[in-house]
Amino acid sequence: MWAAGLLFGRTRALKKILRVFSSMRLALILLGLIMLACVLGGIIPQGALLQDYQNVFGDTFSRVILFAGLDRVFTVWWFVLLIGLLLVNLFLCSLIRFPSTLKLYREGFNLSNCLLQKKPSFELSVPAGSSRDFLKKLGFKKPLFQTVDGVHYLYQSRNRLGVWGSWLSHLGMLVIVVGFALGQLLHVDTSIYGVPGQTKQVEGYDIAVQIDAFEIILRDDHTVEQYIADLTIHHLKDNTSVKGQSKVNHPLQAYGMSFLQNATGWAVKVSSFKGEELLDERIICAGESMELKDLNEDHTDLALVVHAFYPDVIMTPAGPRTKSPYLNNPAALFSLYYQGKLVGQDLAGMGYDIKASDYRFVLSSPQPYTLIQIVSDPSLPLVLAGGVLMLIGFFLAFYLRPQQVWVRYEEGRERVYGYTKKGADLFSDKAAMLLKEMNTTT
Amino acid sequence: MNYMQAETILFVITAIAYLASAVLYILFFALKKEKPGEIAGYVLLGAFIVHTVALIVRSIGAGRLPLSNQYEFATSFAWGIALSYLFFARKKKYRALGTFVAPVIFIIIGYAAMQSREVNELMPALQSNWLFIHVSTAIISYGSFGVAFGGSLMYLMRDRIHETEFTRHYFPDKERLDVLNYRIISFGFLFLTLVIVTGAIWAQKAWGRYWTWDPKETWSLVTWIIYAIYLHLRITRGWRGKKAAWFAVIGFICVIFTYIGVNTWIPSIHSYA
Ligand code: HEM
Repeated sequence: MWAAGLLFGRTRALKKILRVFSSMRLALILLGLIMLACVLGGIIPQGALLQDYQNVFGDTFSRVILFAGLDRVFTVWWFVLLIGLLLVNLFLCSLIRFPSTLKLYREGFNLSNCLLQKKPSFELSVPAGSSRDFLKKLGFKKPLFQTVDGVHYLYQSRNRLGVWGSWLSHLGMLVIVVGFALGQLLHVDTSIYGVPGQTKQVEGYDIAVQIDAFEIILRDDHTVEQYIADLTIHHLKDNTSVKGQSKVNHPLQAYGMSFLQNATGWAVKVSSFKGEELLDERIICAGESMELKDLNEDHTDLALVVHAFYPDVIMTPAGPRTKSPYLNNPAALFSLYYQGKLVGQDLAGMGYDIKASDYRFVLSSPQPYTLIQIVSDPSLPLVLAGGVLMLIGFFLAFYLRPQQVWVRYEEGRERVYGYTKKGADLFSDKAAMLLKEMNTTT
Repeated sequence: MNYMQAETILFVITAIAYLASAVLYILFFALKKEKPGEIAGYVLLGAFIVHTVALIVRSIGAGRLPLSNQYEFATSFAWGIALSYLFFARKKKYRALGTFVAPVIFIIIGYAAMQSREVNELMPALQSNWLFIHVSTAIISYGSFGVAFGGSLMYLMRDRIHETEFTRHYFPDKERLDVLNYRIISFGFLFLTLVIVTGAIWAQKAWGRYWTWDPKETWSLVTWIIYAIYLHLRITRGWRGKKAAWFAVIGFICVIFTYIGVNTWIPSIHSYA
């Protein structure tokens, strides 16, 4: 007996929980909270350091920011929890609304329902014999004749599909959130960079990117029109490859990955010598270094760091700048380190010797390098499908308004009724206008 | 005379005409006289036509649609509001709405006038058809939110307006106004959804990620959520009307913030435009 009571109590509690979790009230609260989180995340710069926040917000508030995770709002646990709750909410509400929507779609559109309708959207009389014409003008071309309790009627419904609108849109949102979450777990986002002729393996994948050519198309005013990289993507396991072009906005697709032309910079060839003996020769991108380690017994430990490159250098009070993107007067800003200590920093032209005791470095062959971003997200089709579903859903919800009309044949006249849940004002306005038109023409 | 000079002249005429229509609409509202309202409508239509020509001239001069810097987007935004107003409030009974919408159009045109009118070349990431769909849908969406903003202000003021024969003629009653606002907002919401979806598709092509929580994306989501809440509140009984109207007002403030505030105050990959 008590077990049954407990069970009963439990199912009641369960039902209650279900009701709360599927309610629109919860949806509104969650949406409100998520919106607030977005407002904070949209104002407070994300991913900065405590010091940066202290400069802007002061000490106390900065500590609050870090404590509450407001420096990474979109990944902090409470935000993920909110999204999780919204997901449950959307799922349950879609689940619960499905049978009722289906029932409405299947059984909600018929004359007997309409006859029970206490508040039709409009109700008017037309002269006997003109109701078919009237309905036709209202957009109902094929009304059917029916008899209920000895009274004759015409009936038609349209846009019944519209009842699915909001359900579909919510399903779409559900799919988007699920897809986005999957994408967070499964997506790949990495990059390689290099100059034509180089082949770089994508770290952690059996994919190598061979840069065949790289071109920057400039306009007359020196602004960039396009970056074009010709690539060959090698699949190292299958021993196959795909050739193609990657431009900004037109990534190359291969092996389920997108190869995006993402950024560019300058690279120079650096040659290092001891006396006349060539020690090393490599292409180095701005920001990289060449190290000469333990060259002899006394632990020579030299490193050249190329900080920046100027194709057409001019000196300004604020330091070196480039006048144009053309290689008219190329120079690189470098630092030299000896055993980890800075020993020199200067600007070097191409072909000059950068000397350090017996050793020297020479820069030559400046050329742009390309940074190729490599991304893949297997959940992309899912998210896109969700987006499309959502859009279709909203369109149906807002613009495919299910409408029903029926005509009751009475002696000497015909009474026309219309019913719609949404946009009743438009529907009745249209009917009233039609009636006016008909009355003026006859 | 080149295209840009022609555009400047047309723009000045446009701005003056919008100002004139705003003043006339206010007179119509304040004096409760029919004539200024009627003229205001024609002036606004005229302004819209000249505005459209100005945008076409600029597009020809620049060799692309004017949708890529602050000036271009502001003037297109004002154009979107005018278009949306002319469409949604075309009936005589909604005429008083102009009093609330025309000043908004003028203010945005004024903002546009303060921006640099230079034509910039597009950086590669901006040369995308998706971008143009993205921005054009934004203009339509934001334009209709602008009209709904005016409609909601009017709704919130409606109780204070004394009912006369005149108001019955030109001022929609509250019920109608609420429904009109709902209709405009659902249209704007559908388009805002398109804006976000097309923006995401473009971002995927240009940057490899469709959503990165960059401030502009985040703020457009905030706007979207506010209007989603508005749409739900209208279903909830007791929340129709005033409270919902406040959401429409806040929503539009968000639209303005997304568009101007984010570009101006918050660093973002979108702000180079
Ligand atoms: C991501 C969150 C959500 C968004 C953006 C959203 C958006 C919308 C929109 C735009 C509408 C259309 C309103 C109209 O037709 O005027 C709507 C309707 C509706 N939503 Fe949501 N919704 C969300 C979550 C939910 C949840 C979790 C529920 C669960 C109860 C829910 C329940 C409803 C209901 C019952 C309707 C009315 C449907 C109708 O009139 O046919 N929504 N929603």
